[in-house]
Amino acid sequence: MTDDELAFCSIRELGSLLRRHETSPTALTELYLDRLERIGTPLNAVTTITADTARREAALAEAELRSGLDRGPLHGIPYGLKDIVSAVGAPTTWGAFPDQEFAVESTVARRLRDAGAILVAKLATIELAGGMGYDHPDAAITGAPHNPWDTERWTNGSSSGPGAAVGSAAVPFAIGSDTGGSILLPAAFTGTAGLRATYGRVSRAGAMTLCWTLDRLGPMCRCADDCGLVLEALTGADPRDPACLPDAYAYSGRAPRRQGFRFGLVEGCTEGAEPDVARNFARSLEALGEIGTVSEVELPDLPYDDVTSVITGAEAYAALDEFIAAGRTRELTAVKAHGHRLAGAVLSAHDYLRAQRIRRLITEQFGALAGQYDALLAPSLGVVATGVADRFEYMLPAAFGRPLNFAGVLAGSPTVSVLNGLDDDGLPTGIQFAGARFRENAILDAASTLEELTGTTALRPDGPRGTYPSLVRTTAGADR
Amino acid sequence: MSSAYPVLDAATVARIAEHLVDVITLMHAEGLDEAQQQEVVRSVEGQLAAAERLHRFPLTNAAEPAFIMPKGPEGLG
Repeated sequence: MTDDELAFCSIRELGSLLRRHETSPTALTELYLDRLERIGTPLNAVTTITADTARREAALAEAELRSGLDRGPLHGIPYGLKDIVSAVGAPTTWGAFPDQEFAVESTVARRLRDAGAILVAKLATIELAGGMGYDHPDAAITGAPHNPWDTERWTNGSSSGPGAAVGSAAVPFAIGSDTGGSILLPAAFTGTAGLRATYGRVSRAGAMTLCWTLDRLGPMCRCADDCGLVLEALTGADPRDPACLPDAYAYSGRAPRRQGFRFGLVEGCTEGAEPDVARNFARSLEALGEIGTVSEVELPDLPYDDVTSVITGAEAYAALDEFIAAGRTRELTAVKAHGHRLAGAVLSAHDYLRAQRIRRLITEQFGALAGQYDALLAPSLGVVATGVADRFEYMLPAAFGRPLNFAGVLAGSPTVSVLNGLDDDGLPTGIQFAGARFRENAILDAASTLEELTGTTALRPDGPRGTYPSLVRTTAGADR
Repeated sequence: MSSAYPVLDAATVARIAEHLVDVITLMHAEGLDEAQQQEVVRSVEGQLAAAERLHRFPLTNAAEPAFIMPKGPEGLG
């Protein structure tokens, strides 16, 4: 197996190699440190490479595994952390403040260390998780995030670094964050698997707050199965996050379900989608028809976009009010961000409450619909990755407004996006599986089965594979 | 059921937007540059439009905000 093939292995495959002594935590750490430097950094996916810490943690994992202490599937596996989540010993820049450090470690970093995972890098984020508004990909101190599948495209955001780093196998997995689609959308653009688990599953202690009632942390991985393995290590009660659910999540991955699914196809979900997105989605539906029933469903007619917009406007202002009121938004890279959130100061309390009251109905009605199925289905986005130098409209309807995303955002329910093919130019397309709250296992099992049936996890960014010697687009020899 | 929330005419909404932009400007003693001012106008107008669409959505007196999510499947709904 070449280093490149090794780097693109799933967590489960890496774990198997570790336990057969065909590689070691130290070897894997060196492999990914090298790729972070050589591939991740030119993609602008990295804020800090934590080489010293990583080597210490790798040596410890190696000794533990050698002595028979096995902490589970993440033991000895390197990973990256979106840079809105704190880790001791490295800056936590929020994509905006290069010198910002926190003395207190995030719960996810601690839980991953307890699981034996090895932190190798803090990964780029759109500044302040994109929450101040942006309309250009270079809205971060790290610059515009380049897409490993075509470096003239961008990754989407705000989990830009995790998307680019996992997509290019600069790390086997990463932790991203999602308020209105910031895991789902980069996953779709970068051909990775991104899981936004049930609200409260993963403690947010130690992460930047954008919106208390919407923020979630979650895994971005090579495949849906890896998302389940990572999520299992992250959950459980945490008094540092009042929204954190008391019970730990148990992944079904050791005995996954592979048939008998009930899918709800969201009516009209490919309207306005690019033809290749619609074509790949149709192919996915054919495959899913082999493992379950597919019935068309109508999403409840509710104002998902407006509710999301009002809640985000109010909470983002409140969470960062000292920064905004002090006029510091002008420190940010995106010119849009200088003024966009200032309007939150005059958003009335009753309008915010009205949005949250309507959200209650969304939660109930969407939950009732999603509860009848294992997963509701739609393309993750209607478009493939757009140009890294192109402006876009913030909250662009064509790319953003697929109501299934916002319905899942507001209902606090789980959604996983996985790669379901490439367009004619070799760019990834994604499919989202949205489930009822607490039913991550159903959507992960279904998404994993689709990956197995269609072989999409074997697809790699085109070449030369894994080297990306320059930021020049190369499409020759892409797998389709 | 339809909402009884009063519908404001476009001219009134535009005046409200102007006043709200003035309020924001007053709150920022350091002053707003032209780009900020334009973005604030755009954002206030978008915010008012979103709120207006939510005002059209009928709610009962008892409809409660979604601040608290159920902690387990049994509590759903």
